[in-house]
Formats: sequence, C-alpha cells, structure tokens
Amino acid sequence: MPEITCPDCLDPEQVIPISRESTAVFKTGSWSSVRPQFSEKISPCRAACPLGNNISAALRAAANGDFDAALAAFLEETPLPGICGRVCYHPCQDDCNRKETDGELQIRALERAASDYGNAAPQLLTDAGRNSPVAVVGSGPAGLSCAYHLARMGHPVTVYESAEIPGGLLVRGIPSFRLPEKIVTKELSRIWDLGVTLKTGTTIDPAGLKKLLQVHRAVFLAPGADAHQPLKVPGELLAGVVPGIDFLRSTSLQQKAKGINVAVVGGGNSAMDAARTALRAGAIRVTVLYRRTLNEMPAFADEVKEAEAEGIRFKTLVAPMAFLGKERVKAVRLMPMKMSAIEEDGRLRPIPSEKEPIELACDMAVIAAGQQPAGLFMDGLFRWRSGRVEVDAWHRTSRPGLYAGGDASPARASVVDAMATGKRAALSIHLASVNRRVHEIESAVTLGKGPAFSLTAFFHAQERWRPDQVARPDGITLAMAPQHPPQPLPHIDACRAVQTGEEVARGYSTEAAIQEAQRCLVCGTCVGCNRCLVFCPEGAVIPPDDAGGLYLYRDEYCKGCGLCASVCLRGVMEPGGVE
Amino acid sequence: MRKFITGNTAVAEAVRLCRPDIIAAYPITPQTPIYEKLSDWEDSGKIKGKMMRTESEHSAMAACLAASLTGVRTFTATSSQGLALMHEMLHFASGLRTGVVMAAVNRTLAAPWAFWSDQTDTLSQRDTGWMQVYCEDNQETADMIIQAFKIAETVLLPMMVILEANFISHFMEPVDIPSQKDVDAFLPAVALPRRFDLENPGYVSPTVTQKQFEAYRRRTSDAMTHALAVIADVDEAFGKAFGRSYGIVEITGAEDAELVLVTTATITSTARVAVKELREEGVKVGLCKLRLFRPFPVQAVKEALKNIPKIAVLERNISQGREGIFCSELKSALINCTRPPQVQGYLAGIGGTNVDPPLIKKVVHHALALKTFSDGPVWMGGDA
Repeated sequence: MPEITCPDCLDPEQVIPISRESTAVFKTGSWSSVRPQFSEKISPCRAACPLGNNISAALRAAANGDFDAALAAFLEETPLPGICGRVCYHPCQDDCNRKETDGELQIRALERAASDYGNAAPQLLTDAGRNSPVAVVGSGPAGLSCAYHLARMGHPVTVYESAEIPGGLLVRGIPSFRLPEKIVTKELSRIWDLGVTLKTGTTIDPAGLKKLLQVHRAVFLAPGADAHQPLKVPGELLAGVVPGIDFLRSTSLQQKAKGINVAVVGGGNSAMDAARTALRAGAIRVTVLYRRTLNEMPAFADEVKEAEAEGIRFKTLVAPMAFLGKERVKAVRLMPMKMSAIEEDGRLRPIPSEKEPIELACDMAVIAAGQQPAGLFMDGLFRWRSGRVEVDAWHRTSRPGLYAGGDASPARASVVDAMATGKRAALSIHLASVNRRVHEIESAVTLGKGPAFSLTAFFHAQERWRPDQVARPDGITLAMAPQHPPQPLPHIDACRAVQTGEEVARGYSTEAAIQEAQRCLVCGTCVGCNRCLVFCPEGAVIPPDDAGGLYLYRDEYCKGCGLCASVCLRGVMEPGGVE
Repeated sequence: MRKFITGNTAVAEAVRLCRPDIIAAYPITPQTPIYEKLSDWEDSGKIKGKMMRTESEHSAMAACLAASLTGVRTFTATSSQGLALMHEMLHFASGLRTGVVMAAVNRTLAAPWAFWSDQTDTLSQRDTGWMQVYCEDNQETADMIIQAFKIAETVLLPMMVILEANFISHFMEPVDIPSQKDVDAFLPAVALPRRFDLENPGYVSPTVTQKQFEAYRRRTSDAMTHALAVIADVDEAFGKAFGRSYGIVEITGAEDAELVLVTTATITSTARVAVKELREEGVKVGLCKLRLFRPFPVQAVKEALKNIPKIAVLERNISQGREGIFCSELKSALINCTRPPQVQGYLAGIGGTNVDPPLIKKVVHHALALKTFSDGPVWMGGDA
C-alpha cells in the first residue's frame, strides 16, 4: 500500500479532543445536598447471638489464620466458646447475610475451631468489684457465665454446686457424643483460672441462701430445672418407665436398654439425647413419640437430623394415654392426635383425632417431656410465677440482692440462653454494686434490638460505635460478593457414631476453618477494601490515613450519587440524608 | 481454506484472523451467532482477546470506544434495535476518532416487530460519522471485515461492515477464509494512538469552545474525504494479497446502455442474473453496484454514470417522506453533471421480502418505458 498522508486530519494530538487539565475545576458537590455517611455497625450474626459474641471480629481473625485472636474475640463476651461451638443452636447462622446467596457461614464450627486451635486468656475489665463478693448457686451454663463475667469485673465469686463435679447440664445432661467431658473440663478451667472459688457437693437450702445473702453483696441463683415432670398418666410407675434426666445421668439405667425396644416420649433436646443414648447402649429399636408434628418439634434441627440418620424412628401426632404391663412396662397406649386450627394466640395445638387409640410394644419407656425447677426454694423467700422464679429484665428477683437465671427463670431452655441470663445478671449485679442504674447504660451496650448486649463495650466503648445499627447490605450488593459454598462440616459415619459413642461432629481442620472464615464478609465493619474509593465517579472519597480509620468525602465534589454505598459489601457506607 | 458457512460465521472467522483485543457486544437476532461463535472461541482459547458481556448495546459501544482510545483493536456486532440504542455512543466513537469496527446485520426496525432484512437501521446512522460499506455476499462480508480494521485504524474513524439479515447472516455459501499468516502480513499489529495513559491522565471529550468544535468537525470531514483514497488503496492491496478486490463502484454494460440499474447489497447478486437474461433478450441495460455509503464516492459515481441517459435505483429501505436513501444520495451526487441522467427510484424487498429476477426485470422494463420520471419512489413490492 502506498504511503498516504493527511497531516492535519490524522494527527491524534489534533483530532482527538482530550483535556490534560484536572477535572478538579468541576465542583460537582454543588449538585446535591445529599451526603454519604461512613457508619460502622454490628453484624447481624452478633445481633442474633444471645451472648452478643463479636463474631465478625473473631472470623476476621480466623480468616488470617490467627486463632488466638479469634478466641480472644469470643472470650470478650463468653467463657465457653468450645461448648457453644458444639451444642449451640446457632441463631447467628440464621441471620447471616450470606444465607440467601451461597449459604450461611458455619459460625458454630468456627467458634469451635477458635477454641480448639486458639490460645487466649480472658480480658479483665475492671477491679471495681473487688469489695463486692458474689455467691453463685449452681454451676451450669448460667452460673458459670455469671461467675466468669463477675470475676472479669473484679468481684470475688464463689460457686456452689450440689453435685460432685461442676458443669450442671453440660456434664449431667448433654451426652458425651455431643459434648465430650474433656472439652467441658478444659473450658471450665478458664473460669477457675480467673480466681473463682468452687464448692462442690454443697447443696444450698433456704437457710443457706439467707446466710449467703448476708455475707455477699449479691447472690445469683441458677439451680437449673432438673426435676422430672411426670406425664400423669396410668402406669407411669411401672418398672421400665424412667424419667429422661435420670436415664441421661445413670450409666446403669442406660445399660438396661441393651437388646430391648425403647420408646422415648417427648420432642425436645433431652428426648433426642435420651433416644440416641439408648441406641448407643444397644437398644434394638428406639422410637420417639411426639404429640405434634416434626415441624413443631422443639429439639434443634441438627440433632433431629442426626438422630434420624442414626436410625431413630419418629412417631408423631401421638400422645401416651397409659403405660401397659403387670409389673414391667410392655406397651404404651397412644391417642392419635391432630393439629388444631390456628387458635386465638396464633398457635397450633395438638387435639385428639377421631381415630382409635393404638398400642406400641416397648420394654422401656423414657419420659423426656419437660423438666421443672426443684421445689427447694419455694418457701416464700421470693416470688414465683408459672413454676419459675419471677425476675425482671435484668434478672432481679423480688428479694433485694437476689438474682436468678438459667432454666429456673423463664429463659429459653438452651445452653446459650442460660449463659445469656448469667451474663445479664452479672452486669446487673455489678451496676448495683457501683450504684449505677441499668437504664442509664442500656442503650449504650444493647446490640440490635436486644436483649443481647456487649459487656466489653460497657468498659471499652469505641467512638462512633452504634450497637443498635445492624448491617444489612441489600441483595444487589451481596450479589457482588464472589460465591463460595460453605466448607462441608465433617461428621463421623452414623454407624460408627452409634457403635463407638465417639463425638459425632468433627471440627474443621485449620485449613478448612481458615477457608470458611474467609467467606465472612465482616458485615458492618470497614476492612479497607477501597471499593467506595474506586467506584466513586468524582474521586470524592478520602481514604483513612491508617487502617481502621474513617472514610470521608470531599464536600465540594461529592454529588450525592450514592454509588459508594451501593458497592459497599459490608453495609458501612450509607447513602446518607440531606444535610 | 474454503468453508461452506453462513455470513455470520464468515464475520466471526474474519474477526478471529484480525486478532481483536476487545470484543464488547450484546446479543440480538440476527447478529447473535457472531457473538456466540466468538464467545466459544474465547472460551476455547482460539481467540486471545477479551470479550466483555455488557448489559446493553449502548454500553458495548462505550466499552469499545474507550478500549480503542487505549490503543487496542476493538470489534462489536449488532443489529436493528441494538444499533438504534447505540446511536448516542456512535457519535462518541467517531467524534473521539476511534478505530472501532462493527458488523451490522441489517434488520427491520420496529414497529411492527420483524426480523428480516431492511437497510433502514444502518442508513438511519448516516450522520454519526461512521464509514459504511454494504456487502453483496458472505465472501465480501468476510473480506471487508479484514479491510475495515485496516481502514478504520488508518483514518481514525470507526467503520460499519453491513450484511443483510437472513440473506447473508444465515445463508450458507462457500467462503474463502485466508490463512492467519496472510492476514497478519496484510493487517499489521494495531498501532492506534494511546490516548489514555495512566502516567499522564486525561479527560476525553472535554467541553470545547464553538470554534474548537467546528475545527474538530472540519477535521473529521477531511478524514472522511481522505478515507476514500485509503479505502481504494486498501482494496487494491487486498486484491494483490488475496486475489479479490471490489473497487469503489462496480459498473457493467455501461458502454451501450440505455438504462443502468443501480443496486446495493444482496439485490445486486440477483440483479446480475436478471441483467444477463435481459441482455440475452436484447435489452440494452447495465448494472451498477454501490458499496460505499459513507464516505459517499461522489467522483466515482459521477465517472461511472455521467453518460448514462436513464437510471433506475432499486433498494430495500425508505426514508419516510422522501424515497429510497441511496436514490437520494445518487441524485445529489449527479446534480452537477453537465447533462445529469434521469433517475427513477424503486422500492422492493422492504421487510425482507425476496427480490427475484422476474421482479428486477419488471423494474427495468418499467423504467425503460417511462416517459416522465417521477420524483418519488415506485413501490414494486407485494401486498401487505
């Protein structure tokens, strides 16, 4: 091709309009009075955790392989991450922002990993409680949690336990295939290491309680609810009809299940535990009898699923009418039930159906349909309501200086909820000991809509911290996050689990834990990803000088388009309002 | 290598040989197979450039022109509504003097909705500053894609290579696909000016004064004029390299013609058959094929047609309120001839109906019998 020239019309310097001037002359900030706002919040998992665990901080540390820091983050709000990391029903995971995209973070398994692989000591918050000794009655989850947090605030604490070993339901209720004893021992040592005194084999009677109240600034009552609640049907006293809590606590009772048919009455976690324990003891067949349907079953879904996998049978919509047999139970007569229409209080109730009663043969029947507090203290020392100790929102009973929590109070019957009552009572006791009122501090520590709160924040509140604000980036923003399904949760095979009695759930390897933790978006916390900076069309976003600082904007250039907020994966940048 | 392929595949093959760096496009019938083919090849590693899946044709063009300003070779393909949506960005692509190449598959513009051949979609983009060439068959389409990169990157103006829906896009014909080596020799690596520079940031399309604006438009106009020479030279070089060239205007039978039929695109190939039969019947008719629409080859057209007494322009498009668009262009090109020929416009094939040899013969006989030429078009098409 011959050379063709056209000097002017082809000279890029002349033909392509370009300005090398800065666009700084365009003060686009005058276009709008709407300004973005950099506002860190709490993560939805934390808001959902009854203990208010700083999950996103722990997972962020675990994502970097720093399990020590992850454990330290958990210990800010809870003494027992290795226990909750195994048996908690993880409401945190239900509220995970990733749930609707590629699956919720496996927070429970990561809490376990933090405890299994991390090394950290609890942080002491103050010594202001040093002249205010506190007695804690009961060493179950509620009592332990209360003792831990009180000790962190400087209080001398003595824990009284009627059994020979501490732990309450953790060691005398939850079977070891869900929670091995050595884990409980290791976790509890954290509390004793804080200087908490433990007195086992010591039952506190009403006179003892009065005495404790005299010599302590406060007493926290957490005796649990381990009195059997009978069904009150004929034949309940036959041999072979055993209370669930007795069955779970007695190896000799469990051994009797070998080679026979066992029926378990109830739909809660104790019923699941009893059924699975019977199977491990060698029962030929274990059938759970429940008067509602699987949907209404109060047992945690994980445990129901594992029980099904192990071969437990479920017979739902049946209510025991009588246990049959001469001396030993031979069968249980069951009334077929149906669910009522939704009643005025919005609940479905089981009502007898028109069908004829049926009989189910069994050689042993375990009744695990509810427990109640032992009647030990029912003598007018304080008020009761509906079979539980009456307490206010901060766990104060009707008697000054006496606080109560755990299953004896009207809390949800679970480890984490019991621990939450102990933690709340601890702050309540501490505030009373330093003459402060709870309503003065409530809003500063309450997470989301509550009642979960941060104890650490009460002592070390960060500037600009907005615990009531929960980060919920919208679906479009979340869709920008790369999709990675959760790391599978390692389990041992159901057959082997039943035969050996080993712990069923196996924790993550450190590698898997790191990978899973890396899925965490750290909702509500700025990680300095700079997306707001990169996407701002006006270059108006000013990054902080150092990590963890505030992103600001240049007023004269920010035209209020909100792009920074729409690309923030963590819900920190907000579109803002009119100034 | 000779391959029996559709026009869409021929476009994709040619694009592949030109080694584009960025292909940004959005699917639309009947262009989609081009996009799909290139996407397959990107996936298999057969092409090394990047394909961008944009959310609209408007964005596809924005991406292409921005990429072109970084100095890389860019390609896109669209059709009909997609082209209409691109309209705003088409002005940017030429105003910023990019070298973007586009395959535009002629398809009816809604409403009503249809999918067949009609040139009005590309002709509507007449004033966007893009070069436009209309292709007769699959081979010419493939060849013009290769030429278009060379032309566009030389004159710094974007170019549309236009093929018709169905008749080219989806009809299979034998197409000679040149070797990579030969195409590499013909089309060197891209050497566009790099206007975006990280070290020296700039802002393209800044606000300019009235005088500056006029100067930019003037230079684009000069470049369009200059492009005519470039297009001719590239065609000649292509002929030397590959044995096929197309000229600016093709005319046959002009020596003794009482009438010359002017056609574009696929109607031309059918007209070749009709004109041959008419010649055999003793009718003194010639055939002129228009390929280039922008820049319009005024001199070449005048040279070819100045001594012809009667001209019939048969085309598949309409500018409502006037006539076929090529007819108007032709008339304006011939107006300054000493004795301008008489020109009659005919419309057929609008909406993609077939324009067969009997219909073309009818047009020729109609025009030869005319006592007075009308200023508006004669509709030769079928019923609604």
